[in-house]
Amino acid sequence: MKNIELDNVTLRFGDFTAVRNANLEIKAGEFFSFLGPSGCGKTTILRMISGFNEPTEGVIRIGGQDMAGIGPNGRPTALIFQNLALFPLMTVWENISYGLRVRGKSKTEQRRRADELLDMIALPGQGDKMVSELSGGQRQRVAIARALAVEPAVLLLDEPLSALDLKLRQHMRAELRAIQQRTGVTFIYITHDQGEALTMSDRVAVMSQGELEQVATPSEIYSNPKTAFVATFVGENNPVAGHIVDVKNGHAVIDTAMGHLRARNDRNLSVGDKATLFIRPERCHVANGDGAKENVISTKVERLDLEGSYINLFARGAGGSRFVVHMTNNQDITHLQHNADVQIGFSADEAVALPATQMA
Amino acid sequence: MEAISSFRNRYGTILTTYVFVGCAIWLIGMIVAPQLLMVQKSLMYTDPAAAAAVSQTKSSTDRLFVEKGRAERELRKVEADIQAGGAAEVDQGGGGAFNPFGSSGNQNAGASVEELQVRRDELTARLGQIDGEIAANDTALVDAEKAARPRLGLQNYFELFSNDANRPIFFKTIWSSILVTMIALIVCYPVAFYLAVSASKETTALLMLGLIVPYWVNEILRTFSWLMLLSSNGLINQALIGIGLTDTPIDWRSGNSAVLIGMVYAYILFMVFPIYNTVETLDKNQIEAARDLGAPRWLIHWTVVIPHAKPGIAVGCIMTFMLAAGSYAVPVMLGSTTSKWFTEIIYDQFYEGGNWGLGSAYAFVLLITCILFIMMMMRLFRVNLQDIAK
Repeated sequence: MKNIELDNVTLRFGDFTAVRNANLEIKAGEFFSFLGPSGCGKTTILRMISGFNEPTEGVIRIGGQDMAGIGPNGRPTALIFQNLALFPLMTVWENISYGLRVRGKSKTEQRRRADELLDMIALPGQGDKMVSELSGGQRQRVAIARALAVEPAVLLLDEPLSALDLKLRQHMRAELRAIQQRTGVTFIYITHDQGEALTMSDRVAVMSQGELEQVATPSEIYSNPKTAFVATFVGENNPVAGHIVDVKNGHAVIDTAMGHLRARNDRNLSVGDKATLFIRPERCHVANGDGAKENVISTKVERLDLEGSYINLFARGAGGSRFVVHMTNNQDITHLQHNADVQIGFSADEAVALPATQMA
Repeated sequence: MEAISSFRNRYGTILTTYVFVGCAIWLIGMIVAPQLLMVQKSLMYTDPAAAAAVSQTKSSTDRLFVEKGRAERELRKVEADIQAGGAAEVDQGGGGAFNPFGSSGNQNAGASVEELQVRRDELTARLGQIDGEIAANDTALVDAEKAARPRLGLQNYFELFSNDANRPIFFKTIWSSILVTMIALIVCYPVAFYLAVSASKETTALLMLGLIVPYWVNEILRTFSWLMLLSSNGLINQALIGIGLTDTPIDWRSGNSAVLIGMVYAYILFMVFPIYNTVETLDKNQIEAARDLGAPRWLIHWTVVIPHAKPGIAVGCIMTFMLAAGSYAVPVMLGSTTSKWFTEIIYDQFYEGGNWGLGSAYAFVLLITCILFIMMMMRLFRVNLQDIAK
């Protein structure tokens, strides 16, 4: 088991910088995800770790060893492609044992290992089928087995579930997590789907425009986003723009179009800074004029969406900013008619003030 | 019938008629009928000895008629001279008269009436003789022609394998065509792979143009340019002598080398394109996946690229082999008497020897060999016609 270090890694394609100054350590045995919109550079990072691209600047180390100049066939990594790239002209077991064949293992050894892996991915006895005879989820597992057959220290997965339907995707999430825990191999997972990243990963790196925005555990990412991009890309958030008028005790007071609002000042902003306050829709409450919360804003109801266990309240505040509140479906909503005045309250500890940078 | 009506429902009457009539004309008029005629011709065997006898008799008769004409002309002149009471001192015409005594000029000039009378009797006797010989020839010709009439039989096919001059050329042509195919494959596979996988769009377009442009020049000129390169004082020999690799020019043309080089060049496109087309459809991720799993480059080709490109390789090999085996211009221009191609032999049978039966048989043997080669290639590459059609 080997850890992976990215030390100031930058990759440029001509004038375009695909990855900028990435610094990161992925621990051995970790399930680590790169999360970001398409074109943010996450696949490029993966290709640099697997050796298909060399960084323009910086060093990539796997298990402490500098990987510069070592091609993909010389690295202790195995990559699972987005389209899986199984070999269609080979049988399932030949696919799985391809890496062993390359290493000059005997046919019987290849077959034995393939059968072992087929058992592990719950496809026993399917080795003699052709890849085309398998379903999407089965192919997925064959691709994983093929990568694991060479006993890599690191398994790299490039959006491997994106081609599957929702049900299968959810099933495969659990399956992947289970395989990772069983084998103890470091998994590096690329996805634009935050659900996948948050449910499976030990840690997540959120990327935007070639830069690492935040590297943290899923709950940390969700609860304590470090940038406006992370706050809006992961989960839903209500942004309120303004500037800081007071800071004390780790809190900041922001002057917004809806009045002075208090929020956590995790980024140590100072008075006068432009800032955006973020509050999650499920952390807001309809205040019903009791004023108990630290922040109360006056809005008008725009629309109510019933989602079953949840009700989404869409409201519009002063200055035209929109606000969403997720309410559990166990409260009286008769007074929330269109254009009715409604007070929305939230606690200062659940709101966060972040520098007013680009949102997702 | 059902196929036709469903086709008609989909595409309408006019297109259906066009397609099916077109197919029928193509199939019957362009494939079946000519081949059947060819086979029929090839099965008609003419005994070469009998044919020789016929032409011998015919030419002997021809000679006799010429002789007869001359004798008759002289006889008329002699008789006129007798009537005039002796021949003129200098003959005024009738040159080139019959001359049984081997001397030239008018042997009767200045002859007396007695001498002319002797000559007249001689000529009359000879004319009678000639008529007899012609009659004998005519009866002989009837028998000879009967013997030389083409008969149904497989002798034309056996002839090739008992003919010590043509049989080695046949086998050499097949073997050389296989060689051309193999060399073309070795030359073209890397090119096709590079074009399909590594090259940028612009490079691909440029290289494709470079491959196609030579085909705008017709085959004769293209081959002729190789003749200029390969002749004993051609560019290649001059270069080799210039850099001191050899003192005497290499005679490329006496062996097969010039023909092989010319053919590989002539048919490169037919090898590159099918391979390029199949490699292009390969998911490039498979190459990366194989590399990621640790495969060295040659193994990636052997286990991933070539298996995928097999139909293209088979098509390329088949086309190149067929074109090489059936090539005429290249061996005629670049070859020498020691490097004849089987197509030249076939051509000679048709247009020099006038033996269409034998020519047809030779051509048909070549065709069968080519078909066998196709089937062998398809077996070897484990592809079927459907793969190739793809």
